[in-house]
Amino acid sequence: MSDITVTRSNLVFGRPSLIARGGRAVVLGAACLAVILPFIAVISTSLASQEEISRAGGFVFWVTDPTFDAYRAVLSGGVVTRSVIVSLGIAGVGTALSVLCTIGLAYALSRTSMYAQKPMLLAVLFTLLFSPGMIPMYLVVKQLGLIDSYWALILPVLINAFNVIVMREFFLDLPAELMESAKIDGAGEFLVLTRIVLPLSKAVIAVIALFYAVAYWNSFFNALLYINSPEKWPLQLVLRTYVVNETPMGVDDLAMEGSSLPPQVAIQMAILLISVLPMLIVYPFIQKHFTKGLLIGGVKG
Amino acid sequence: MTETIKDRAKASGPNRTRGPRSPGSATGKPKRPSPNANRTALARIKRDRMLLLLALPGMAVVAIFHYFPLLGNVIAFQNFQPFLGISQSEWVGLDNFDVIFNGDPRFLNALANTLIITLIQVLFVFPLPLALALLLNSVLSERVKRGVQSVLYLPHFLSWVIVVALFQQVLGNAGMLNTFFREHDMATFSIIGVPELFKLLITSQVIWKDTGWGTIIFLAALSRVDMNLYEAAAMDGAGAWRRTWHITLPAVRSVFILLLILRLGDALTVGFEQIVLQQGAVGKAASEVLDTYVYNNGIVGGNWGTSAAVGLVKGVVGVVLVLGANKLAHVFGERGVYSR
Amino acid sequence: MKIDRRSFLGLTALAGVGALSACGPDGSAPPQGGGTSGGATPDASTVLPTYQAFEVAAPDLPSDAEFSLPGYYTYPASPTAATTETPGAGSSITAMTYTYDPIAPELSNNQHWQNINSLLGVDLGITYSPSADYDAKFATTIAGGDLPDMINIRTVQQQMPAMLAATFADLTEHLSGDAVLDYPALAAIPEGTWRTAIFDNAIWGVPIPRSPIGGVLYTRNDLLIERGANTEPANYEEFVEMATTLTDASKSQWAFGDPGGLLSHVAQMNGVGNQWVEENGEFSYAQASPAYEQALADTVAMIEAGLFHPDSAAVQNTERNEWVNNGTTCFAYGGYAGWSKFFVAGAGIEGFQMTGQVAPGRDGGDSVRGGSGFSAGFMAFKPTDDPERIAELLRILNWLASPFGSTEFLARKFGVEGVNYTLEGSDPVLTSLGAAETTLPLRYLSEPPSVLYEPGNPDAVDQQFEFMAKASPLIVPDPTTGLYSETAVTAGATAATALGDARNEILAGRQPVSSWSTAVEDYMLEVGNSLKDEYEAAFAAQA
Repeated sequence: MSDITVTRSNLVFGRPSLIARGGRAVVLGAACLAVILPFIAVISTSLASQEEISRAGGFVFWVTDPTFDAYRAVLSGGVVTRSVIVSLGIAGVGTALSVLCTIGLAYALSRTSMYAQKPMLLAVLFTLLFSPGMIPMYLVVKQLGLIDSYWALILPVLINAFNVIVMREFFLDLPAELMESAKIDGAGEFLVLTRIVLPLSKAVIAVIALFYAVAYWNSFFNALLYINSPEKWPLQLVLRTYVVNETPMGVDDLAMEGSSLPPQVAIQMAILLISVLPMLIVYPFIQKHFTKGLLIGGVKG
Repeated sequence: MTETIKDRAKASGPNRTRGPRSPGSATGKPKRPSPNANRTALARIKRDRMLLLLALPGMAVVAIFHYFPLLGNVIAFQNFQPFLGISQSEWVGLDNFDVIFNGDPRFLNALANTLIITLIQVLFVFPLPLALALLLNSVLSERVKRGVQSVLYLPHFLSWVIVVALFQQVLGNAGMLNTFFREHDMATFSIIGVPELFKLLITSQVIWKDTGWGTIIFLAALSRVDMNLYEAAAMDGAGAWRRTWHITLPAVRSVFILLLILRLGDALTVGFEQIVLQQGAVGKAASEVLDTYVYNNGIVGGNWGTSAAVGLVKGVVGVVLVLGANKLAHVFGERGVYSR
Repeated sequence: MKIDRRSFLGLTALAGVGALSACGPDGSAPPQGGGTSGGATPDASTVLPTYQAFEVAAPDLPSDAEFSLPGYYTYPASPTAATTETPGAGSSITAMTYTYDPIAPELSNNQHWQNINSLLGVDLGITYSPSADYDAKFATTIAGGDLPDMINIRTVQQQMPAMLAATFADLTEHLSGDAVLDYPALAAIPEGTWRTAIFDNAIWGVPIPRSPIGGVLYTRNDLLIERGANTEPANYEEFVEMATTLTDASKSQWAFGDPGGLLSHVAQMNGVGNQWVEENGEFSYAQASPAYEQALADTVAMIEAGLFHPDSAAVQNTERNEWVNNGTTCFAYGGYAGWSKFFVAGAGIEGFQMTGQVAPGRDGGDSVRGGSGFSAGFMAFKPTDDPERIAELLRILNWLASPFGSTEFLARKFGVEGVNYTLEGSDPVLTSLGAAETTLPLRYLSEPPSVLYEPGNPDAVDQQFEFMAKASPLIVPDPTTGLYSETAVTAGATAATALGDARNEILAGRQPVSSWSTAVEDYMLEVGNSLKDEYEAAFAAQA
């Protein structure tokens, strides 16, 4: 493996000079530090006691006396655990359906000779520029009987025009003669898609799947409007109820009288980490598809 | 089966040196006059039935959940009240568009800020993910490359509230750095709360938050580059820069241009939440953008019509920009979002 | 991309109008109201429910002034029942409201909720959303037309009287005058709170009472003592002196961290409480007065003197509160209901004292406090032809509004003994299960008027009570309470934003104080003069 990659990288940039390599290491190292240090602060803060947060005046850059109170507070009662399952289900089913529909649509739109190709492409493109209002969307979802159904969290956002257009772009760049030859061999469009296009498009499919998965995972607003039963809420909406922060501590009531929740800041960070964790776990599996060169296996080591 | 495909793909490799300039689609660009011109629509539909079937689920979603509710945007011409609905709300002509077309100097200021920020971001933020992707691509070790990329994509998942708070706590006037400087009798600096530096500040926040995330598409594009090409080029004696120029860049160019065109369509939209959170410190003269202006001068009163009206205007401007940029791309021989 | 658009639309929806329970003198929200500008209809005071206090436990610190709150050191050892019969008749009831608390476990997994349902004798289903998103949820629910049995109306909507008449049940005959006495807990809701639910001289819902005490200048009294500052400045000069004593930038110590909040406090010193002042039926805008401009000048002077944290304008209140907790600053400004949170935050800090400082008059004597924010919304009912159904809903809300010291209050707020709470002495202390389950937002459906009660912390009750006792006589109730103005809900927020911008520019030192008069003139031309006329007409119709 390693000698393959060495070969590859040398091919890309030649044997880099010491200075170039040093410069590269400095740039990437600094960039990583600029991300890692704040994340350590985020993690530390999620583990900090109120005392420590108060002493630091907000973020705690290094926690001295870690406590899991914030996590315990968020995870107690089982609501968060349940909503994680809901979110995983929606993200899983939604991403699968979205990727399927997006592949179909993007492939069709990549065939410029197809009937009505251009109007359809423009129709898809314009959805990026005009968005329907909240109330008309709600009425459509309601008319379709989807209120309080998990489908209301999937169907309205099943297709993202940006993803369609990006995937189409990748399809367009596939070598034309491959498909031509397949056609000459008598393969229909469906066979061309499944036998030739898709195997060559693992990278873009992984990317688009990631985009959809993250979008499903992060979305809360549709659930807020379309789901009336809080027990069906996805994770992000559940977590949102813990972050009172957005409301300035005004004359309105913010008192949680009698309850002694851990510090808001710690909870906020714990919530952030809980919500990012699944993305962190899944990411390497997706990432390998778009960082690996397509034909890397074909290059002699 | 995979073997065959790999072989075929490999065999087809050299063809792709021409990159995006090669025929625009699998079947090539339709020549004019199109050979299809005299076919009847029905016959073409019949011929393309499999493709149309593939497109159907997606198009149905677009029609039902996008274009149908989009009709609701007629409330741009109404004083819309949720309890009355579209049928009974009062029609008010173009009143809702006043907020954009009344020539208020504060609006013009917001528009100018928006365009400046868009320009800065298109010039300095937009290309960064590509640069980072190229840099990552040049890293020797696959493990380092993936590791670094996994780290750099993380900030994308932080909300703006947290990003802004982090920046404030590090760079603030009494932030970590300044406190350190003060304690060591060194000169302190002021970045946060300085109107002149506001655009710089929000730009650096965007860079920090989204550059790593943005590399994903470019890495995918780079992963398509056939190693054989490098091998062949190296044998022809092409140096590292020439190989980058002739092999690496062409592979990402069309994607880059496509994303650029789509970004231009959003020219009038710059980080609403990010800016709202920081407006108090620098004042509106430096920080008001179109979305915040419109929010404060129409939408905040619960005016649904205004919100729809502004959406329509921004959409029209977006269409003009996207179509214009696409035309421009064609002039330079690029494919753009759609072909001619 | 999609998400961005969504969240923008979300914010769009937040638009709403003013919170019913808004705002000090610097607040931008228009006031709530009832009554109309219409002429000859009977006035709101004739439909007002009869007030009758309802107390089942004698307070340790009885409130003697209007607007002050009674204090309790402990929960009564033997709570009494406030109601005599099960309010529900076994039906299903749906309710919609908002919450500031985390989501509660669902019914099947929530013993507190099950207990409440069995005590209420109904199957109570609650749809709720985070407070920040409630206006969007409300708007779509109204537009969709599928109303729950009860819904919390928190903000004054455009065309409010017409909206209520078209969408909700008129509760006047059930609640007006002595009719309310059938529901003793509801009869104990103060008049100011009821006015927030009266429009066009009809009662449209049961309001959730809140104290109009307004903003508190939260004070780290222990720091003041430690740093040798005057804890009771008697005029503006002494106030500045106190702040100067507390500030030492070289030690990263400042007096203040919230310019806008402090302005409200200084405005009180200068005699400006509410946004509008009524005198003999004539309304005037307080921020147009020289006194308010003086308050601006005073605040700017303190900012220029370096008494504020240098990042004051750049942060959210979360950070400001942490500054106070860690002694970087000594004062925070916020609603009285946030008090308990400071005690939670300060529990680990030695000697921590969080008191409320009442503003002195600028030149000695008394200051003036505004009085608004009487309610946290009102519960409006889906129209029905069945008066018994409405009576049942009212009995439910009446049960939930049972006063402090009752068994109902204990069950509503603390849940099931042994499961959700344990007794420490006679004080209920939530278990961790209890803390999770009692976030069920019953308190945003119906609640009795607030009391001061900090379990296990009698000192805190004393400090709060002392503040209330000093502050409440200074309160002038907002004269626009109960007056509906269409201008306020259509153009009011925009104009208030512009005025707020001008204020921020001045506080940030980018504009001179003298620019205020121009800004306020613009405001008067834009909306102020119409507001004045509408309030005066509504007031005349009511008097």
